[in-house]
Amino acid sequence: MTASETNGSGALLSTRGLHKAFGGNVAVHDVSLDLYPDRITALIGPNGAGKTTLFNIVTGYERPDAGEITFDGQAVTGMAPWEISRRGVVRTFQTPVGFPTMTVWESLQVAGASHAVLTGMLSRRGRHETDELSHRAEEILQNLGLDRLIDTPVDELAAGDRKLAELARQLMARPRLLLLDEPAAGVNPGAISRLSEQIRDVHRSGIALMIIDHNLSFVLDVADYVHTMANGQIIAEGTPEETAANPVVRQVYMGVEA
Amino acid sequence: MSTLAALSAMGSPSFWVSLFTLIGVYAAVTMLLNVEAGWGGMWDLGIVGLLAIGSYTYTIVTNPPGEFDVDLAPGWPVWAGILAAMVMTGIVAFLVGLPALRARREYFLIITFAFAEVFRQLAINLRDVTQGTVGFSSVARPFESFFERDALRAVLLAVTWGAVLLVYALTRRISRSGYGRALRAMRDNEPVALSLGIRVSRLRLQTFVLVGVAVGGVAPLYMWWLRYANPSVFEPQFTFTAWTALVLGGIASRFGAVLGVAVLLLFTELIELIDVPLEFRNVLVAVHPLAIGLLLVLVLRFRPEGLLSERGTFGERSRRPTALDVTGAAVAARLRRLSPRGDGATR
Repeated sequence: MTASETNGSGALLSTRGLHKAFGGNVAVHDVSLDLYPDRITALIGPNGAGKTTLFNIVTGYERPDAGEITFDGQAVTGMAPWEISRRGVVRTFQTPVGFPTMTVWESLQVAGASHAVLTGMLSRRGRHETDELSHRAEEILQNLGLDRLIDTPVDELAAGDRKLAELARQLMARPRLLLLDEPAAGVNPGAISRLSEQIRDVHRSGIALMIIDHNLSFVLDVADYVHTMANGQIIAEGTPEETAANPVVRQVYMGVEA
Repeated sequence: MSTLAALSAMGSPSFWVSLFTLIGVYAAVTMLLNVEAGWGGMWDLGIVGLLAIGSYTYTIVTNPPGEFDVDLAPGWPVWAGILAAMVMTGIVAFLVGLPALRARREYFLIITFAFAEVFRQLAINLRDVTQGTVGFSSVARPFESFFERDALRAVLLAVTWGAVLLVYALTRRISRSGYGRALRAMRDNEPVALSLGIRVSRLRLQTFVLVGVAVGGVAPLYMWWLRYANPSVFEPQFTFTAWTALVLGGIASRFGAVLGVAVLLLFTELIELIDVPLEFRNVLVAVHPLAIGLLLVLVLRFRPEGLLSERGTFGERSRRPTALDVTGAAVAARLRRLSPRGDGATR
């Protein structure tokens, strides 16, 4: 059950045999999974299961000791985070500190700017870009219901809004695959169903999604397919219903004896 | 009596011309320091090293052949000297940046500080090129044949402030561009900046070189004001003054660098003018750094972000605030907080 049953054809992102140890501590062990763009994928597991380490490896923040990652058919193993981001794999972070000195609007401008930043400043195109970015930022904020906070400094946002602002900012980077690291953490329970809807909207707009979260009811609600990790390994995968019913998952994740 | 004497010294035009030229030079360097340190988060404590490279390059290539006993005296015209200073400083910034930018924060600070000292030691020891500790007792200046002494100083004052305006325009453009935002993003949160595709390591090096080239362009202005070059004028004091001014004026604001330099240099130079009996002269000299320290403590106590703030410079979406707006808003906020009936007190 550790490897995906399919051979990875049609998968947007595939990992094969990923392995990462910190000292003697194995964080990720032989992880192979395929991510398909047509379904929202979730990654669940108890604390220390290796979920965030796996995200870090996929997005270039950690180098795997072994294994391969392909995105859209091309090997991206060992690439720098900015390189992977430019190919369309964008992530969010568990603690949404963001850019504390900026307003929501400014931080969205950062995300959308072209990457030839120094030369862009001197060119005419670089200046025209600003208007287009401005429109896009306003649109994204409107869709997420954040338009009233557009001029608020990021460090003055409430926890839930900060999460959404982070989502908005990463959307500005034009992801093809968005990896959400605990999007529901710190969001007040009443707003979670709205968050699920917003995440589904993002997916409907054509962006592939993978979500890590601790809130199991949220994950089972929003995801179409769930991978369960424990001790650095994928121990189960399946639909939310299969996952919820899986005795192995219930034991390691929920602490329920099978 | 003593006040009268001080006033008469203050009244001399050449004193003010000289002081404001120096303020201009410092303002330009400090604005550039703000680009890398304030916005880019690169705590460069070796900015005087870049200034030294630019100053020596300019002085060496523009000195008339035969005037000094040195191996290298091509006697280039002033404009070529300025270009040479910019190119040379840019190259040196690139070479220093390659290793130094692998370090962050205080480690970067230590490395840049060390490089600045290395350059000063080189200036002392490469006697065949720099004349060692003796240095150069004169510097080629533009328009020397057109104006007599005092007029030339006034012209160079205008040229210096023209350059200040140019540097200000550059930093204004940077602050409103994607480049400026990328700099602040990388300073605020490097992992997030990377996740947005910002190539942080290259951005750092580009910025360090850009600042180097620009400081190289300012260096000849410093030389025209100083009219000599020797290793003692490139001691770390210059860097500290620029940093103090930057913190005073408001690090990461746009106009703060200019305001900070003006406040700091006017303050210190006017202290010098206090007419004390000769036997107290030493005391006045000793009080000098204390007074700067006090000024810094006062500003940081009552306005930790400096006289102008980063938030005042950025964040406006539709309307673009000018330096005047920002200063006005800062003053208004101050007044509101001081007045007992203002919202500051009722809240």
